[in-house]
Amino acid sequence: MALSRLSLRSNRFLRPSTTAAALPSSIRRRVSTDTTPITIETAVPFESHLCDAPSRAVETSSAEILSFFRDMARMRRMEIAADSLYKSKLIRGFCHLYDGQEALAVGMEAAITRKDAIITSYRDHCTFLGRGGELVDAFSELMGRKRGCSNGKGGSMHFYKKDACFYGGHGIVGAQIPLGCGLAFAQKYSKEEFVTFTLYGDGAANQGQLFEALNIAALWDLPAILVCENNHYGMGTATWRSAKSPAYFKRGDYVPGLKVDGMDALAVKQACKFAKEHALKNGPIVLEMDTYRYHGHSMSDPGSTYRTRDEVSGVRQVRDPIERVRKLLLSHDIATEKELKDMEKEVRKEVDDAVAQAKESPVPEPSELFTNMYVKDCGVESFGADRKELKVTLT
Amino acid sequence: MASLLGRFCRKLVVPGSANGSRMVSTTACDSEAVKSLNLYSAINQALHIALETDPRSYVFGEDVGFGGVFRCTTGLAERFGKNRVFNTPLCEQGIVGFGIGLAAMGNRAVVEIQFADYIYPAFDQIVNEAAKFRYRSGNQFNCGGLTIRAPYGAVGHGGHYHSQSPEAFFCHVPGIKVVIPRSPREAKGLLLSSIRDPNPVVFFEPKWLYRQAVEEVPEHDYMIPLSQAEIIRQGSDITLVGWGAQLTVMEQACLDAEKEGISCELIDLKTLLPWDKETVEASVKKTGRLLKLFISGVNLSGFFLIIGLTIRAPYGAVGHGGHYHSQSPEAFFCHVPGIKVVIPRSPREAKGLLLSSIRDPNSVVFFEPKWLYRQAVEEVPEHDYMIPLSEAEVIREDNDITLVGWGVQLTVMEQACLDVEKVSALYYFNSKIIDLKSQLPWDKETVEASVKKAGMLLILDAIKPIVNY
Repeated sequence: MALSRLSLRSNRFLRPSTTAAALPSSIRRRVSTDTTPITIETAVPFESHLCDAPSRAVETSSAEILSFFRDMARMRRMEIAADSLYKSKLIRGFCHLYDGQEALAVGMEAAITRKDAIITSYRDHCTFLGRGGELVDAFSELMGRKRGCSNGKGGSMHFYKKDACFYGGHGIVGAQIPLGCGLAFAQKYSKEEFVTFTLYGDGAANQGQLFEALNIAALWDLPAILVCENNHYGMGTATWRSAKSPAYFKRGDYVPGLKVDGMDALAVKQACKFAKEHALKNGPIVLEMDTYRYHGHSMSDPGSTYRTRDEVSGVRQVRDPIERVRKLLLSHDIATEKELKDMEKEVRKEVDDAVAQAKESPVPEPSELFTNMYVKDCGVESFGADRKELKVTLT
Repeated sequence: MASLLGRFCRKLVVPGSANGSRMVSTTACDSEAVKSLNLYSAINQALHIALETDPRSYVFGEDVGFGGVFRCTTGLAERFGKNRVFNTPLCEQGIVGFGIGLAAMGNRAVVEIQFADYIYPAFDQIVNEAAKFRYRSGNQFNCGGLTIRAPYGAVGHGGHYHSQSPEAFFCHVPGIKVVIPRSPREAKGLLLSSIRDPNPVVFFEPKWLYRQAVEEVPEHDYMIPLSQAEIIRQGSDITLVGWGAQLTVMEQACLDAEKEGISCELIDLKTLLPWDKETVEASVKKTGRLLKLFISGVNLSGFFLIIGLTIRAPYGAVGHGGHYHSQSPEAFFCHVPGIKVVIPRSPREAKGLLLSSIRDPNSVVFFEPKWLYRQAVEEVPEHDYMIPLSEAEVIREDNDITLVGWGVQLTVMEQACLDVEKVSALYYFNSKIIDLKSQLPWDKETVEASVKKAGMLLILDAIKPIVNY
């Protein structure tokens, strides 16, 4: 079968390959495994700085777009479940939700392998899921249970997954940037042609350590891709109030940059693919993902004191990443309305089951408070409030 | 303010007044108008007063404009305008740096670091710039108008980065002051003193008490002197010293101890640097026992371990190094569990200890005494050998007193021992010298065994001697 490539504009309903149209409807429906390449053009063009922008025509397939939908729906439901768990005090501490930004996590995964490294900030639940993390591990970690991905010792801000090269969530804003460039440094030594995606936000873009890391990465040609997740608010401060130059993709100055519509999973995929090739050949590149978060900064922030509800619902109506993919699936006849609704129901059940399972996991033993400080036993002692009751050697 | 008090007094003088609340003392116009406030409101009041009384004072930091994440800066932007109370971008190093600059021009900069856990990017500015500005310019310039405020301390759900108590790091920096209030009334007075003090001050606010602690706070402008400790509970058996939130816990402990017949004297240090030595010494002379308590304890952050990171740094005075080439920062790092601190005393030690440090799977900070880079010459084995970390070595055996040191000062100590021996011909004062090598984690057994034998211990670090008996 010839590889049929058709480019579709958003409003037209061109059927894919003619051979598909000839098939009986029962077979046509089984497209979730169809990897026939489709090319779709991004709605918003890329803006570039010191480099040639990649083409707007993105190569994808029905299977991939469907997987986008399912993965994003799963991420969305997870964040909403986390919201209600936090409100019912099963999750304590801090909880920074990613809903609205799912396209970034799935688009990036589609462009890279599990051997490329990703490191991000505290808004890491969906990135973890994208790296192949299990829902039950995520919920367990959120609730501080043993089954959690960091054994219950990290919490919401510190999800890690070693086998997928996910170097985690970090609490201190911007601190992960030099770390990420360090990962790229190690990758360059290994010569295995892998890259590191270092994610940070528009708030962190004003941290001095970003510029220090950019300089060194550019000087040594490191395969580092710095991704600014610009959701337009650094906690409660809008970008125009905190940055002289809100064109974050240009802030690298001598480092090339690309501005991407972060709510379009396919655009994100294209940009990340381009960035990986660029980084392996030419050194660091900055990607600015124009995205948006529906929730406030964290669960303690209602998210409405510094932006209007109209703004939030406006973005939800016009730019929601899941709705976008849904429209794509429907217009390309890859799935029906009902199939998508069923998929969402399945995802919802998946999430509910995971929550129930996570709730059953026990909390870590109290002795875990004192482990994993040092690798070898150094005899450093620590005491509880009553020295006679609790005296432990740190390991 | 006076007219307000006047109106109040007139109200009080009227007998049988409908206002039955006992909020104000009845002594005519000398009365202190007080109000029941929590910690963040007291701090807010102090900031209002500070900005009101000095037109060249400014409050800035992350999100202070709308009132701040703990409501400490409520109403300031509305009252004093966006030119004096404003938000900054997210960069602590920049915030403090700018504060120093503003203060250097004679203004009062009251800078907020959103959580003490985020103060580390600004640490360099505080230690190397703010603390030394007056000294290095020969008193031409200073940044005394700088006050850095930060909420600190555990609350239970803060996790790794909203619970830290970093006051210990700052206590090793001559040139700044470190102040921690224990209650709303103290906070208002101490903050006003800190803002008006002609030295840069780091003011830590116990976040646990922001809402929890409620006290009658005088409404007028008052200051509580810095570097004056307060004995908040008299006792005779043991002296307890603390600050900030844990005094609440300590007070409860004192009550419990009393039931067992132990009379505790509780001292609130208030200013940690420079601290009120006289009060504490007088108290210890009385009771004979001292217990110092602070929250920071073990920072339990055992997440993604950086395996095998070794940081080498030349340290120590050389005579001509001046401010920035003579510092001995090993003390800072000794408060950070999770890393090791190692200091060699000689070439042979250095090679072995450095190889051990590099191969040790924990992160190690390795300080090299730069004075000895060329000065110290020794026979060093050429092969690959390692000297174990966390094992102190007795380099001079004797019985009367144990001296503990590391790095460069061991040379000085050895000379001192020889001098002492020569001088005391009748009474032999023989000293044992122990090279600690690893400051963290340190070899307690060797030191303890030695002190058991000798009975006296003297610890010498490069900056100043500390005598411990």
